[in-house]
Amino acid sequence: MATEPAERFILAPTLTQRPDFHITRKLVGVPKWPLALLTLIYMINVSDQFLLPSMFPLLKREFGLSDTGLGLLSGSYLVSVTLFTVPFGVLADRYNRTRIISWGTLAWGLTMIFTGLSTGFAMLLIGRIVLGMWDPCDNPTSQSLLADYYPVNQRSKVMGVYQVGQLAGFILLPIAGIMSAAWGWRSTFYFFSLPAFVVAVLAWRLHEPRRGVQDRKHQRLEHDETRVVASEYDEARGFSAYKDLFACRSYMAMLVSATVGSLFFGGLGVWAPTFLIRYHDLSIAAATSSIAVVAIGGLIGAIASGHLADYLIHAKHPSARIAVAGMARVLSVPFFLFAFAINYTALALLSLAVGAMFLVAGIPPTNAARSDVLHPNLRGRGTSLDAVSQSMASAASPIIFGILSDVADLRTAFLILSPLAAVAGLVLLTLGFATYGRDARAVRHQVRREHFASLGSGESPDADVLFVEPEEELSLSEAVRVWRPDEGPMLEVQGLDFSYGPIQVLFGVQMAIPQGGCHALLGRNGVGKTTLLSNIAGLLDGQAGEIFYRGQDLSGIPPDQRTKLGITLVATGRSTFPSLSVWDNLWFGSYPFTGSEELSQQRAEAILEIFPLLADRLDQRAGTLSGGEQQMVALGRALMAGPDLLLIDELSLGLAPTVTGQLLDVVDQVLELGTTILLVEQSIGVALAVADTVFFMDRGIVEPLGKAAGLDADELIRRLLEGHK
Amino acid sequence: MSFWTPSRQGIVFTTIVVVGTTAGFVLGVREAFVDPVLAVGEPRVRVEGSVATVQVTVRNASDGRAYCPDVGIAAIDRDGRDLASGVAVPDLGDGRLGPGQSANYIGTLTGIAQEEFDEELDEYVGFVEEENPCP
Repeated sequence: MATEPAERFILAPTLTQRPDFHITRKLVGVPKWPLALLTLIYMINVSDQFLLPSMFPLLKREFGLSDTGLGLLSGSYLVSVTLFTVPFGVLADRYNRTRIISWGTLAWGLTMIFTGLSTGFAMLLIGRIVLGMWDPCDNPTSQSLLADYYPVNQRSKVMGVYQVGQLAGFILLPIAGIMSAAWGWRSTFYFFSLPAFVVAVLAWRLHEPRRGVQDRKHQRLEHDETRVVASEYDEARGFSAYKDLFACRSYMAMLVSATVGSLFFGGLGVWAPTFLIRYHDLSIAAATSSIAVVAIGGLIGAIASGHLADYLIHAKHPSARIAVAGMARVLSVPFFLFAFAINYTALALLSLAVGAMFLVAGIPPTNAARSDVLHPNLRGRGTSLDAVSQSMASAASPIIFGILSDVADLRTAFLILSPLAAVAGLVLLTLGFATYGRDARAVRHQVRREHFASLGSGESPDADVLFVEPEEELSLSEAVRVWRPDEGPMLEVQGLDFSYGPIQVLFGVQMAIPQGGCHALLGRNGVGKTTLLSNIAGLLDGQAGEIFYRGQDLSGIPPDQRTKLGITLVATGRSTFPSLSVWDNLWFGSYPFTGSEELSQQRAEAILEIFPLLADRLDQRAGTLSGGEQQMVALGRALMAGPDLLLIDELSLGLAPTVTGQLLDVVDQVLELGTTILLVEQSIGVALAVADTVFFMDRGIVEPLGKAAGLDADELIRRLLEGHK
Repeated sequence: MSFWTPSRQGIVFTTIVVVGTTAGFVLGVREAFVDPVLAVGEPRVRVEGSVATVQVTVRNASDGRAYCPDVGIAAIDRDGRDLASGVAVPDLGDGRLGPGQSANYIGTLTGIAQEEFDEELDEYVGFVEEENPCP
């Protein structure tokens, strides 16, 4: 059975090409529920905000309001929002944020009912002012929360999803129009209050993350999400916190950029329909609905830019968030200029949509970058100042458009003001780009300093003991490649929780495996062994906890990329492609991951030397093989990838003892290649025959039992029957 | 401060949610099922030059009361503001609407500039300004 070493060693992991490649992370391994809820709240906020203006004709008839009165209703709301945004920013930095959102959305709901009960102008006005008071309860607070819920390296992506809430909020307005036509404006207000109550309850149930927990996790300082870390900003009063905000150059660059951009963007939504009517002879209805194209462009931009910015960070561009935001704004300008210059309607609309896509694309990376450069206890204040300056610029923008339109014409106004987006982008690409890295690093250092101070361990806050800015120095795939065994365990599982729906299977699993050797994981059927292996391989994503491979966090990395990094799984139960031939099964184990036809060919030949039985069945469909042969194909296919870490799930399941013996011989040969094996087994005999160390798993918890050589098989059997003591 | 414990916060919060949700739902349903006594139909419009003639049908949906309503008409821009408004009068009779009866009301809107017709005008509406139960 044993093959010549020279042939066998072609399977060695060291011969596997593991070139640097761009890791893509999915938003997994973290609960998505908070993001979905906060996005929904943003959406409801936007729709509630514009509900009353959409009812103006009806209100005007019922209460005999003048246009001045209607203007007062709109204006009072804006003034109220502006006045209360900054205080809510302070609250978001000092108090429980989920409670702020809960009480705030509850107050929205009540205010909507109050507005529905209005008997005259005075009540409507009070309703608007009060709604404006509560309106800012969500945006600064939500952005601060999102920065603490989600990993630092996924911030742009998260902010992109959150931004969708604003755009989607406008979708609810036509629904409100239909409701008010059918049931009257009062019932629309009453019914629109109901979602506010629902999200208030859901927000109440959200857990409040510790401020800066993700920033600390990013630096691998801690994984205890419950520990309080004191900050100098905890007691910061008056303007001292704002002084620090204003001293942060990259934050100021973002603030200026957003404000300048809003001088154009604020008027775009107001005047674009008029432009289409005036210069493209569209009807009012057609022009208004054409603006939906712009919204769709914005949606695409928000999602795409978040993904792009995070991807580029993984690809060793640490200032990618600022770069993407700045470039997006600059790139929007040619499309807007083209859209407003030409007379061909379809092209103008298309160009408008692309311009909007780029313009909105600047928002999520900027929001993420703002969180990067602001201390966790300053993010509410920072976001609120940004919101105020943007809303003031947005309010001024339509007036500037109107003046320019009166002086020259509307087309000229658009052509003059569109380049403001480029100015906004250039501010980011110059001042922002120059200072972002320094400011982000300063925040990381401050977070680290506060962490060590809270430990009171006397460790030097400046000691770079754990964190080497991975994004700035090495890409993740490079870092995995250059890792050395003296840098810690090869595989480390920390606090991993996993549930299938409501049924929790893994409970804070802790496990560390050194490089080399075979490590057996024993446990009864159904205790979570396969679930744990699937989490390591990336087929499942735990709800909490992390998995580190060669010192690098695997969260969000899809299974195929984990295989490229060196982790391969032999799944339980004859995991072959049954309709493919044996040869194709083997080939698929290597070529997609090594990219080398020659190496794949040599490895296939080595596998056939190890499993000569398969050589006669190369063209046979794998599904028609016996159980033992299928297990050989599965193991062979896994070895074709040249794994550093081979995960084997139930090697002996359902196999005859002689076949199991043959497979164990192969496992011995694989160990000689330098591959580390994590073997899940129910059979204690099989496990002890090959394992160096043994872990015991029961009811979702893993316990290290030590070296296999010192273990008593009978005692292990008893433990298997009894579970954890 | 000790009064405002987390459990008390929860109780107050839950109470307000329950009251608010119930009120919003009940009021919304009630409002949705309450039909106006005087129903105004879709306006029919004829435009000649800068003058729009608007005609609407008003129906008395009450069971036992006659109304002599004041009916208004308006042209509305995209922001919900009036470009022009006026009064509509019954095309026949004295405007007395008995239970279940309908009548047409006609009015004219003037002073709308051509640019407003082209760029601003969103819709025409007819509405009851005063229900005025008849003596």
